[in-house]
Amino acid sequence: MRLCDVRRDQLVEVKAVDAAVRDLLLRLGIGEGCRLRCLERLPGGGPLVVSRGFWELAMDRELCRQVEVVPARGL
Amino acid sequence: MSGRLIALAGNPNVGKSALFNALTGAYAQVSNYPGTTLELAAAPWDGGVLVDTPGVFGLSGYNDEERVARDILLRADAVIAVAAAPSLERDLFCVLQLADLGVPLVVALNQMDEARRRGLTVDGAALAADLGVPVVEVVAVRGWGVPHLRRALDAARPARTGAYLDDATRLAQERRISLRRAVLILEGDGELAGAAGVAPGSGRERIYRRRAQRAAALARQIVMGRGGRGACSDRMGRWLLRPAVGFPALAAVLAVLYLFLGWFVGQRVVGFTEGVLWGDWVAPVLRRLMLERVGAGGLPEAVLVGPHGLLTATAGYLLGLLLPLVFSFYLALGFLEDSGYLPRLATLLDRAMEAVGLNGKAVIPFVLGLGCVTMATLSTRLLSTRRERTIATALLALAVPCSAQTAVILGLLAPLGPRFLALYALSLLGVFLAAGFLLRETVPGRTAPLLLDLPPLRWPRPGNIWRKAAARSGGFLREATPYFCYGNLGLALLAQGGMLTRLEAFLQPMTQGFLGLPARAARAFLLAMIRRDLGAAGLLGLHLDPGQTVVAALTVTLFLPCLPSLLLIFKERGWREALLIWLGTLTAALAVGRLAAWLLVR
Ligand SMILES: Nc1nc2c(ncn2[C@@H]2O[C@H](COP(=O)(O)OP(=O)(O)O)[C@@H](O)[C@H]2O)c(=O)[nH]1
Repeated sequence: MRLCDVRRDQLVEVKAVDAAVRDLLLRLGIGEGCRLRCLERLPGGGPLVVSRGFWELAMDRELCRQVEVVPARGL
Repeated sequence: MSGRLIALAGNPNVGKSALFNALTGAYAQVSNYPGTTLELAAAPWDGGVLVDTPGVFGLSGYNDEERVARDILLRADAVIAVAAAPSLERDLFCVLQLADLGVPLVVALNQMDEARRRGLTVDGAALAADLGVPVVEVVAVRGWGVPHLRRALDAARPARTGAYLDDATRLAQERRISLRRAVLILEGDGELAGAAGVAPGSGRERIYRRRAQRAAALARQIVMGRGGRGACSDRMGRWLLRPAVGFPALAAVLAVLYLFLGWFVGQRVVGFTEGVLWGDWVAPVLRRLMLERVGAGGLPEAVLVGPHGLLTATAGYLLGLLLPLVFSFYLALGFLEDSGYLPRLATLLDRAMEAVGLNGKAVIPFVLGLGCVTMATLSTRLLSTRRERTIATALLALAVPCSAQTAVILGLLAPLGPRFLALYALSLLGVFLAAGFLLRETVPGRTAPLLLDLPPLRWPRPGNIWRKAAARSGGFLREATPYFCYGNLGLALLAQGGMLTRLEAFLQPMTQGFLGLPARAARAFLLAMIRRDLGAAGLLGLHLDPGQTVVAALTVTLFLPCLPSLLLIFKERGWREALLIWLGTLTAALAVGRLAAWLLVR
């Protein structure tokens, strides 16, 4: 599953990030194994708002397409 | 200990500027969105110098800020790595990168109050044990923990680095370069590698991955608590992102802004400061005093107290009309900035901004532009690509009126009623969109996808808003006063020699023929070449009819960007682009003015 397909309020774990944006996202602490929660999906193909712990960020939908995730449980 | 260079470094929006202020007592602007530290603040401190570096997510040389931060960190004698407790999962990467440089380090864990409020505990001692450097918990905006931080700096030392950087020591010895240079070269910094005569390392991704893993493990170990969710401000922050709430909220914000600036300050307050305070009390006294000294009818009278006089007209505009409005505008802007509303607005409008070839982040420079276009032009640096910066700069130069200009134009249009004001605003929006569309299709390059931090919504601290507005208004006065003086002086001199009338006659085909305005409007356009607000001020007292007023207001708004921002455009964008922007705005202004004249002026 790709991050852009995640439902609102769903918790996921990052499996892999496409090479093109890997460094960019790693610098934000987003890489393999980290958990993200989708807080909001803006309509019309707008950005996703995700949280990593207590920190929130808005991410373009295309960027989310480059992040492979699996559903996660708990916490 | 003397002459030490100490640098504050860390991610954007963690509170570096606030800490800088708390440590030095100097003033650097504090705002609740990333990208505020655009101009370096430095102040003497503790026998050395403290420098606030631009906020960056890492030192990868992705953009100017990262290069600037890197160059300072290469020279620093000690570094204070600033991280915000609520966003530690993100901030630790940057802290670890600073630690890996091997510079003497202290970590400041800021925003501990915010963390506590969200039911979050952060184990600073565990972080200190892991890194082997002092970690100090602080609340920069309250000065809490700051003396402690100062003392801890004496114990600053190189941190325990990640095992993934063992090669760096060898490289440093081989090439006789500092360890930090060697680390950055291994991470693939081409510039530094070139200077050292080696090939840049190819292991950036491996190092980043290991570092991110170490950061994640550390975060799991030291950040505790699962509060946060459900806090009222969090829920509000989330609602603002939903169109059904976000757009009405935007409308409400605009309405409140209009009531506050257009009605309350623009009419009530300015009516008093300009009309009564200045017009009835101060100016007549000044005029009488001056006339006693210089006598009536001569050049001194014209220059000092005539219709364009320095002591009457110029000072009246600046202090009676513009200062109250500009100051109030900055108060409102400060509120928007510090509340954390702007990044949410940027997210909400992200899709819409695609129409003009930008992403949502560009909303921030545009909103700042409503305050001061020059300042906003500088803030286009927070956009990621060259194409975005070009488009945003051009649109700012063309279609975003700054607060001083808005002040004068409100004064012109408000008496005509809301219909004309709406006509003006909608025309401006139309021009903005049309020009943006054109730029999107013609400016080469690509627009980066949105990736934007959403800081927590918080209730702004009035002290900070006040301080920021005062600093910015002071800057406005310092910058605008000479232009207003020279502009009016020039006009007064021209008028004395009869040159002004001749010049107006010469320009008559444009003003009267082309735009349907009285010939005297030419002086407004001459002034607008210097500053748009000055140009708008030149329209006052021309006795225009409502249609003409809108035409004149539109043309002057779209007219050339003011001289300071034009100079900045040349500096930031190079002369070719700047020249294009200059010609483009001039052409667009005249074309739109003509169209409006054709529609509105009988
Ligand atoms: N609650 C709280 N807010 C803070 C603290 N320090 C900074 N802030 C806020 O965080 C935001 C960013 O601060 P600023 O100094 O501009 O960050 P910079 O971009 O790192 O220079 C502003 O809204 C500050 O008011 C703190 O210790 N506690």
